[in-house]
Amino acid sequence: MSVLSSVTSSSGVVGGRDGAGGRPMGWLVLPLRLLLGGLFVFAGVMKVQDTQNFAFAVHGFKLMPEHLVVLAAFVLPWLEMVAGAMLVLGIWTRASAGVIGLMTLGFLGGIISVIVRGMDVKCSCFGKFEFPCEGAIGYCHVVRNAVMIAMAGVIVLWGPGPLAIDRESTK
Amino acid sequence: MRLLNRMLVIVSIGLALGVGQSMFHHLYAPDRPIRTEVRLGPVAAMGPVTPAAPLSPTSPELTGTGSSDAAPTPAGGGGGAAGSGTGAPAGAAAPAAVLGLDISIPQAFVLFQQGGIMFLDARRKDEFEAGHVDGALLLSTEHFGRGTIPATIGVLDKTQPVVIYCGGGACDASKNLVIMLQNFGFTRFHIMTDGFPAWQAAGHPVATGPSPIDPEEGM
Repeated sequence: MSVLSSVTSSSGVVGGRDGAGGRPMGWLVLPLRLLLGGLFVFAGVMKVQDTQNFAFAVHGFKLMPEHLVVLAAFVLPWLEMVAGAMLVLGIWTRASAGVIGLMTLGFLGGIISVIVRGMDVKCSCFGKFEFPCEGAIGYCHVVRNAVMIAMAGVIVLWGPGPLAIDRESTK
Repeated sequence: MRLLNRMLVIVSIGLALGVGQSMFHHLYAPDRPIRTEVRLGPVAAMGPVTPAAPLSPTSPELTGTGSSDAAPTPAGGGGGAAGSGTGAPAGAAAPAAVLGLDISIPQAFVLFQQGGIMFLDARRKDEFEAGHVDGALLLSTEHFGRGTIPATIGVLDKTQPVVIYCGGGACDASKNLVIMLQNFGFTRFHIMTDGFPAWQAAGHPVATGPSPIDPEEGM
């Protein structure tokens, strides 16, 4: 607990409100923001262009009935794009990182359930593109999502960092 | 608390945009609904099969097990537009053998021997090139992305059934391709549920190499 609180206080939950850009570590947040946000914008754009195939991909996880699959196929890409764009621009940075973190956590749960059930399912996380993990869902996807959750967690804790609209608006 | 409220607002924006796109899709593409389950009319998936000699129309290979949707439906009704003309010889006492959506390897082989019925391979390109049903074309749902129509569609006869297969087992690729083809006006399908591995294991004709029609090329 004390470790957590020391991490939190020293790394900028408080500082995060007005941005951690003034801190040396704040510059670490910027590439995380751009990378994670950019990935989510890209993933959303790829999916929204081909809703039917994304619906097939969601259905392949065998976790939801058809009407929820269709709803998810329409909503998730937009949520990814909105949260990703807000993260890149630094608008409500911690909230958008939180949304991305929770989404990725949900995806991670689906991935683990697919692995546990021994299913041969494609991720379709980035539409037609597959990186850094290719082929059927496996442990590479688990590691990738865990890294993304960690990145989102860092941004939630440290705040927007430099070059964020959040910081500019509070000056 | 403010963080949570903001997260809820972001989720709400995403939800609103997604629902908006859904409504837009329903308005402007009502013939192409987004779905994940195959829905067929009572006869749409079925077509009377002309058995290759010496099999009779009531051959166990055609009417037997493995065809869960098979029913002795009169030919030509409902969506089976071209059904009535291809059945048993005129005046034959036996009813036309009718296959359902799911067919077995022996049933698929009968169709293969008849000729004139296209086989579609819904697996990945590398899997197709390593081995496929002789004469089959490569086509999967991924070839339909971004509004493009694969060239393969142009060579298919909508009045004839198509036999679709993937890797067998729990693979959804065949069913997904059926849904996609329905959006393009195809009504008659058979899914070789045991897939290519079972076809190959049965010793039926297999070919290797690229698809004669490249599905990545648009029409």
